[in-house]
Amino acid sequence: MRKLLALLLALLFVASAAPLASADQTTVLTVGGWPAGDTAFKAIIPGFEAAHPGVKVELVFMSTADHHQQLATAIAAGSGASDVVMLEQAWVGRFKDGEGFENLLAAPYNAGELKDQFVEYKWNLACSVDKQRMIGLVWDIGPATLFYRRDIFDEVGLPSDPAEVDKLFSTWDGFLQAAEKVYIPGKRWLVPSASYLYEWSWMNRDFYNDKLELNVEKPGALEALNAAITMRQKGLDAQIDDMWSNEANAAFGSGAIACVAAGCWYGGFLKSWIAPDAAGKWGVAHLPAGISTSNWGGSYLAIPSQSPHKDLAWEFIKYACANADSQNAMFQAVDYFPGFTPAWDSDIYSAEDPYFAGQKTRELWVEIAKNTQPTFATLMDQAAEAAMQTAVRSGLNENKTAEEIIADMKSRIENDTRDDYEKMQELMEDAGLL
Amino acid sequence: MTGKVQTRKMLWREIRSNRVAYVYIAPFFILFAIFGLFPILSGLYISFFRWDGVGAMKWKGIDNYARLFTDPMFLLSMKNTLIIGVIAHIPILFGGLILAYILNGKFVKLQNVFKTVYFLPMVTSAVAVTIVFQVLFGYNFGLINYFLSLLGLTPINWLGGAGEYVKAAIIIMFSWKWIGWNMVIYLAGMQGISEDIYEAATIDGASAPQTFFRITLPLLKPIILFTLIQSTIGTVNLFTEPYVLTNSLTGGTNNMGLTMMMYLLNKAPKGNNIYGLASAAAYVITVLVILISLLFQRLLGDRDLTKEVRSR
Repeated sequence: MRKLLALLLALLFVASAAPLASADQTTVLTVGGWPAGDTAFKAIIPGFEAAHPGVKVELVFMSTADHHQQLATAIAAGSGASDVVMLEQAWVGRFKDGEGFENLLAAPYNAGELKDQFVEYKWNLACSVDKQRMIGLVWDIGPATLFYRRDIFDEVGLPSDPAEVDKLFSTWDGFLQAAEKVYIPGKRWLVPSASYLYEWSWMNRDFYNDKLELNVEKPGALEALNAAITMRQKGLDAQIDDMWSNEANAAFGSGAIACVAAGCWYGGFLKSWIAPDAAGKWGVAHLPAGISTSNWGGSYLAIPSQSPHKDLAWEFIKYACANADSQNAMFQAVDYFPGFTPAWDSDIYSAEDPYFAGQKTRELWVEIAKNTQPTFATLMDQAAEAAMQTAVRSGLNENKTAEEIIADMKSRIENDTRDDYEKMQELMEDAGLL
Repeated sequence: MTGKVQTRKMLWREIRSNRVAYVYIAPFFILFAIFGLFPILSGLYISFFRWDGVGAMKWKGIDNYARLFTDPMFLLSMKNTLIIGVIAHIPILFGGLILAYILNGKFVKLQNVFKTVYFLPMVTSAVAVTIVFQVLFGYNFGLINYFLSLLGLTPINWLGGAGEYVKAAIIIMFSWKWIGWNMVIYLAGMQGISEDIYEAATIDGASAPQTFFRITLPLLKPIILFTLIQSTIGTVNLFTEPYVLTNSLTGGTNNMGLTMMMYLLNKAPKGNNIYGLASAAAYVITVLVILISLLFQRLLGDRDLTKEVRSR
């Protein structure tokens, strides 16, 4: 008798779970990524669901590192990935020449039709070596910007108007002059570390040319390095090597450091957690001394091949990225600068930003984005960047000469990228490019 | 011949008659087979290939191993790990021993308070603690440098400069965390030594240092061996503290904080996805741990010392 009861109870549990799984006729589209992408998507999901009745969008969000790790595992395992996934630049580089993602240039997606409407240099970075495959559609970009404290510049008699600042900073001498004026020993500096003067010239990560030759002697790089060495010898920087460290963030917030360069998305960081009380005190300008207009960061949306809703996923991606209204809605929400050029025709791009003392920051970013040159992305870029940073930071700390630093950088890059370099060579040979 | 067949039959019969017991112990072995044994074997397999985790695998033979030993980064990571391990364990092991001895003696009140306080670092979150230490070690605004300046010393650039002090910072954090653990283990070992032996020694007129060096230490040898092997494994696996402290997978300034585990995880899967090289590194590390453990085993032996002491 008891056994029968137990069996009935078990059946009851099973039966009660069934309605939840029964055919509800809604299709669930999962979108995976990292914050603040979820806030951005929440701004456009209602519109998408209204246009596609019966579809519900679910967000699967976690930290950048976790998201990419899980995605890599899911791709290798063949299941577990969301229908639409965000991809960061570095990870696109790893995935674009392999398997696991849909080729958006092929039918039924035919993304090639949209090519002219996206920023060219970003578009290419998601394409395979032979340009036959593209795995992600451009979402946002990060036009490189110099953020500076207007009030500190005013205080020490430096120009604080962005155009004037650009003029002053158009040579490294001008930049070093400003560093001397801003400097209060032990209390205030212009930049976190002199090494950044050199690191900024590599923001674009154009380490290799299309023959896979290391591009170290590019124009402007040596001058930047010499300026960095001079600045460190005069003791004008805070010697905080990492602009992302807690110490540096505290310094930006308190005004101990007057200037920092990053992608335009850094403005959002300043406003929300680094210096929320400093509204009206910051301004934006171009990178100094004619460092080529650069881009730092930006993400893509991609479709893992294992998804059962590939067509719907593509609809979502187009709705989010290839649509001016959506891109601008997301831009307003989280400051992700659209890589979709028609979006720039909106009025919001001539808006004044009160945080930056009424400066028309978006106009500046549109201009930088339009002028950024394409680069040749390789598998070795991340490792090369890390090697470059180590070489210049430790070289400055040890008072090395420019030649020694560059030689050190070259040997470090060669050592750290051997495996990926081989792989890159093979890929290019297979594609007939080498 | 018949003898062998007979014993095999008997073996199976025994297994069958105890099958319930086997069912009980099966879960562990199944989990171990899936999550322990399989990765160990597949790691060895992968170490002979070049693989990015998703694409095809390419045979490389022992190329990955050769790569490791010609990569200055790997050799540097070995050197760093060795230096950190050896220097950190001086306070960890000796300090732990001394603390245990003091707490074992009956002259300290509030023993449990001290035990708890010293053990507390072990139960903290490694990441949270490292973030706090990162702020403490700050060059311009760090608390430690502030105290140094109060004492009239020049502030130390712990995490920057040419990287000379990065290892010191890591060692300080590492020791702070593990002293309590070793203290507790030594204390347990000491409390396992029978009182009779100490009584006999006192009757024979042994002084405190003689008791310590001639009785306590020799009897603690198996425990010391255990802590040494455990420390070796812990050192060689050292990752979280240097990673969070230097905020990079490549060991911060001048790679001075690069440990073997950081090198490995930088190759795959955290930094890049060079799984073949990472697997090879994992095996080199494993062999290293085994060799060092065997060395300690040989040095500190396995003899039953209680009998030896009693028979003297």
